[in-house]
Amino acid sequence: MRLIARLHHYFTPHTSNNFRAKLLHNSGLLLFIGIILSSNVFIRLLDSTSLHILGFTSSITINEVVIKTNEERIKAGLPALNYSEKLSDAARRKAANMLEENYWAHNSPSGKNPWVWFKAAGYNYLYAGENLAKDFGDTSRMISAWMASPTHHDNIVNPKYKEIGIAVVPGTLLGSDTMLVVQLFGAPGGGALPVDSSPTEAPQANQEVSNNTPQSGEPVPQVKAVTQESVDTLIAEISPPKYNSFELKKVLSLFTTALFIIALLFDLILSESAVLSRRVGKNWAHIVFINIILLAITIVHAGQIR
Amino acid sequence: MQAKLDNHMIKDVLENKLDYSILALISGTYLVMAYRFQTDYSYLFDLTLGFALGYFLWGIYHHLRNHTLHIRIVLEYFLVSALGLVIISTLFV
Repeated sequence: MRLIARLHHYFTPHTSNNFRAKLLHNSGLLLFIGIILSSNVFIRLLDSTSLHILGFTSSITINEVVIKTNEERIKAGLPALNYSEKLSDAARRKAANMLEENYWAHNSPSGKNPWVWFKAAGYNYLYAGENLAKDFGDTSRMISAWMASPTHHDNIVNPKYKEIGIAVVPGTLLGSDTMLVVQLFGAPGGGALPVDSSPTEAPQANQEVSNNTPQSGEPVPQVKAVTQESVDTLIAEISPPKYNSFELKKVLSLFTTALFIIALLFDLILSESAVLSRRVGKNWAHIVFINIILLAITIVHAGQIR
Repeated sequence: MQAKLDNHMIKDVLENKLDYSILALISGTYLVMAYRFQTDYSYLFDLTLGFALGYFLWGIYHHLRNHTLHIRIVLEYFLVSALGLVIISTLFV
């Protein structure tokens, strides 16, 4: 009985709560904000421990990225790209450098542009491009995000590219566990003038940047090769966390918000049926606002592209 | 009970067509922009901040027009807007 009385107090207009569900009082709203903030702090603390309960999980594989990229090209009426081990070597070097120098960009803080990794891997190109992604749980969502971005889309369906190289490398970047994906495109060339493009540049067709072959005075980074075997070993060594922290935060937000909407609905229906005259905010406007936020949560996913 | 609720809501919408049109416009714009920039967190936060601020101002405008504005209502809209912002921002912090 006490439990039912409490539920009435928190969810329905009643004499005990001045005819407004207690959860909808300003103190109740503060409670919702407090629950979300404190659960977020708790998840972050759990994430930072060495218990490895929370973290980032991903099912992305090199094979899938190549297949889905080629599917998009075929849809656009273009030939499929050939997988290049040299381009993949360049992609692994780029991913390793991002983890080493701890940055999330096309150019490193020490000034290395994407094209130095092509040279370091010994890939002579006529045209080249780079797409980056991190924090994606699956390949389809990552490819969709790239296709939705005009500059990344232009790289995927660029008719000048003939080959593709992929690196899928787990690691800790900017303080968070992640799965980095480096997608490199190229058209192998001989002595012709090379042209580079990356999504960060202006969308004009393949901006001319630098010569392909290392020139005198132009340093080629002395970076040791990162083999696919070493990446595979790294993936095998890292035991996957039990829960994805982003998804857990999402579920907690959805649960708290659902509770708020239930309180609003009960209060709305019961106050209207009892013809209560109260000076309060519009319940159903609040429901619309929070539902729009919920829709935005379902649209948004963890991944980021560059 | 449902019929009474429907009647009241329809009456409320008809009496405040302009207010609810503005709310629908703000909400629709936010959803379209959130979909367009779903992978750009900083933009998404700014966008949600704008939406929350828009909803807060809409609440004040709506109650001002209906002569039902009270400091407690202002605080209520502020807290609901803050709740929306907190829900989105904590996902990416």
